[in-house]
Amino acid sequence: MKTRTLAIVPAVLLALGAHAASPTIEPLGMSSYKVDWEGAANEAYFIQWSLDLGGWQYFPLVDQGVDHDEFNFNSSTDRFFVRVVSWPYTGTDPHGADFDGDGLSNIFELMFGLDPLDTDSDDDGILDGAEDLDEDGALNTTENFNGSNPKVKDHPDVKLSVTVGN
Amino acid sequence: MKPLLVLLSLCCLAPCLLAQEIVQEDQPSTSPIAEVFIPGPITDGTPPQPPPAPPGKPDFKIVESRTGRMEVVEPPPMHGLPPVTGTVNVTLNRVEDPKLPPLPEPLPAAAPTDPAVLAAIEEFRRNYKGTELLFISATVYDRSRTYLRIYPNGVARKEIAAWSNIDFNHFSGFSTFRVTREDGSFTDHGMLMGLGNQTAESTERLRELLEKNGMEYSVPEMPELPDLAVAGPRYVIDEGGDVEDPASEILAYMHRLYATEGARMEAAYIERERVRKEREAYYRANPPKPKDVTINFWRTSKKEEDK
Repeated sequence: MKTRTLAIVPAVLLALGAHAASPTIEPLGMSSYKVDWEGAANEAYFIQWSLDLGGWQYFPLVDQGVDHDEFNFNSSTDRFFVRVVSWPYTGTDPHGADFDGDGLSNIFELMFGLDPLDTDSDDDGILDGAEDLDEDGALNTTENFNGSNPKVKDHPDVKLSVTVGN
Repeated sequence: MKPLLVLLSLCCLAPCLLAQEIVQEDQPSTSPIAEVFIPGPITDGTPPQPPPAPPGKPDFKIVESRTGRMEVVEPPPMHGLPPVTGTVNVTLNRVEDPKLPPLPEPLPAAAPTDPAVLAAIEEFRRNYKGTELLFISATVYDRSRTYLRIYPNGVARKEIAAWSNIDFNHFSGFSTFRVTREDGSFTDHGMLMGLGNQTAESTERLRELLEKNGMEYSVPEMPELPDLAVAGPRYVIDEGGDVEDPASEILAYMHRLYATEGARMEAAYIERERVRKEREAYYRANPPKPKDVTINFWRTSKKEEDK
């Protein structure tokens, strides 16, 4: 029988302050799974995925506290890994907050493939907020402020509708 | 013997005697060996039955989607080939809750006092035959001599080491052999074998490597062993091997097994090798490429009782 290599790996420390949550996984049938974890007050949660346990990517969402929603997924690949990373947070807006202090909100970084817990996602020595990824003259911080796509050369004044949450 | 020693001996012996009495009926039979054979098939490279079709995919309604390119490295399709590498499209879809049907409820646990359950347990107990596990390390030299280390049930102090005139590559297509006795009782021996092959070239490479690093390579001293084709399966014990030692019996069983099943084992091995080489050639000519990946995810509210 074809086996699926599926693992929920306890989160490892990604950066100062990040630590492991204790996720559980439950099969839902039809190659789908539910991820849940014991949430704690004053903690924010990110869910990451990997195809090889080497590089980790974020799902574009962030949760907070005890009463969070369940996370469910279905993957077309046999080798798929998920882990939950938590970050101490006492505020009320984990989407708009900037945990790593690089000038970009968490949800902006998640939406555009940057690391919300790393000030320099591509390790080029420049803070994520101070970069101009699409070289359109607007720094990422400006794109964040304007709600525009930092990876598409567009006029900084063009607003991008970003939906957060469910 | 001093009274204290007598007392200590009694204390130590009592549980052993008790245990011996309890397991008496499970003690191995001393009836003469009738047959040593392989109870199941020997793998000959025939592919296994294809896996059942994967369950259907839920009907997802995509709310938001994004696709990126990603370098991936996947394990090779078989040993000896390079990893499968390439760039794939990875699509991440936020989807609506597909409202999957609930999984069937697990069957209720049977009551341990249920007469049917008790009868089934008794039936199982009556027919149960444990498998003796053999941990074997086998190094085959030039496909004609094997240096063996056997640890019955993984016990290091019961180890036996021996030279055999059998190519133990032929022992790799099955995992269990059975020893039957004239009184009808039998024991299955399960093998966990680590197998290595040494040729004149690989030995030379090893010697060069060790000498380069200031170490000395000592050539294993191979005792005189008659040719398999002329004298049949033979072995010479190198270490361990008291007559009472179960490892000695195991060694004898394995050689007796080869005497009766060797031709079948060798034929299956040759066929496995043919299929393996064919597969390897195919994959080298048609290197597999990693497939694109689609991940669908959705959120659901916790049920009240789960909170």
